[in-house]
Amino acid sequence: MTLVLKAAAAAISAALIALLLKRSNPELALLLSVMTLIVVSAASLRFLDDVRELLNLAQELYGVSYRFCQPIVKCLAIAIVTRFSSDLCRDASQAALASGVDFVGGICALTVALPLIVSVLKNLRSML
Amino acid sequence: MKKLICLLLLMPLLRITACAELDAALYETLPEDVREISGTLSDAYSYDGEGALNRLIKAGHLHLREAAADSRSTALGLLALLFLGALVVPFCQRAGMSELTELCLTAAAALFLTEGLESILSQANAAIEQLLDYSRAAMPSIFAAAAVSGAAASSAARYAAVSLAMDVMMTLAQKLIVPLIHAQLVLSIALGLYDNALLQSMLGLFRQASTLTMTLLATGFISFIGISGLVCGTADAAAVRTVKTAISTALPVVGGIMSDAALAVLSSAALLRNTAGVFSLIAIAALCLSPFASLFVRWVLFRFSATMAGIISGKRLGVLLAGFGAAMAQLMGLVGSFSMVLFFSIVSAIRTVTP
Repeated sequence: MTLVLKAAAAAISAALIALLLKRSNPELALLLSVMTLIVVSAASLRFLDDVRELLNLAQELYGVSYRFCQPIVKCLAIAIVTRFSSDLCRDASQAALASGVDFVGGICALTVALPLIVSVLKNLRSML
Repeated sequence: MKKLICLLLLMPLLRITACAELDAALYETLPEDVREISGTLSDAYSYDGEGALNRLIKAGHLHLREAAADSRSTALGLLALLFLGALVVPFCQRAGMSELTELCLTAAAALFLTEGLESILSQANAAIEQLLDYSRAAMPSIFAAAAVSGAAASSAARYAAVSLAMDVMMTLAQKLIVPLIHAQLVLSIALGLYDNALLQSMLGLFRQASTLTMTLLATGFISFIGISGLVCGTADAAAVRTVKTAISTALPVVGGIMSDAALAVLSSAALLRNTAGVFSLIAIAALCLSPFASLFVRWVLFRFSATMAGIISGKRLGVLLAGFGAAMAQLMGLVGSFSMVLFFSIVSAIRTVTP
């Protein structure tokens, strides 16, 4: 809760400052946005340990192997990074770059899902 | 004349011996754990049907509990994946990657489920094999006992009919129905990964084909047994009526008494038929209890998970789990059809004991 409040305060302050800076120095405004985003994201990184613990717990108690959950979590991470990056590109009025980032994100997510799909296809073949 | 009277007096004894042999054939070919449930059929007139039913219900509870414990890891694993999906999919939806994440989640669930699928399929196959083994072990003895009771023609014809029908059913189940259920599972996974109208139609077609085949097999078998029993049974009934008329006319005074005594014996044979019928019903139910409980628990689990997945984790996973649930229902239907066919086979054999 505290982290959310801090993140919200930092983000709103940075947005206001960036709005002021945008008229005179748009590059600096963008840089401020990027830095704020990095700081806010870094602050939330410590929760990754909790997520990892949750996955370990799922493996221990629920018998779900990490190899089933890993691609899903990776997809989540790719989705977050892609969204942040493409939004930043759009803020910088670079729609083509944003689309490029979206495309790369999609390809990466598909690549992450591929081993699972290949395993499923192998299992299907053995079933038939 | 004296010899004839002695022979006629000994006839009920022969019938009773035949009935006892039939009971022994019904009982001795059962596995040990099923015998504990069904109880003994040594004294047919005092068969404790109520007690056997209570034991069957208790065993059913036990098997259900065991099946629930066995599928606990599957249930927990599915639950973990469902909740993971519920957490992850909305996040990715905002990034426009919900489709890919759902695909990933469905593939993970499919992989997780297919690892334990072989044991379920082999369990259903084992149940059918067990029923067939029982049928192969019991049928010759049951029909032989029935033949001793005087219905040689009909018991031989019925045995041939039952053997043929069971072989046809087994071949069709192994070569057609089980592969159709496999194909349904494969199509459910494919449909979960890739939503496609053609795949959906194929799945529906395969589902209808296997259901129709099972229904036709069961109905066809019962009709076949009924028709063959009707023809042979009519011949036997005609023979018995002729014997009864012969007794009555050959023995003017004693004939009526003899005929009444014969009817009493025959009514006791009918009573025996009823108890043997109850016994065989309980024995077959006990034979199918374990696989039925296991399949039922899996079916409930998949149906429940499919509903939950549809609400919290997206459509793809729901489709996959619903497909698995339907396949479990088909397997239950297959085991049920076989048990019904076996029951009717035994009933057909028991019917030949009575005139």
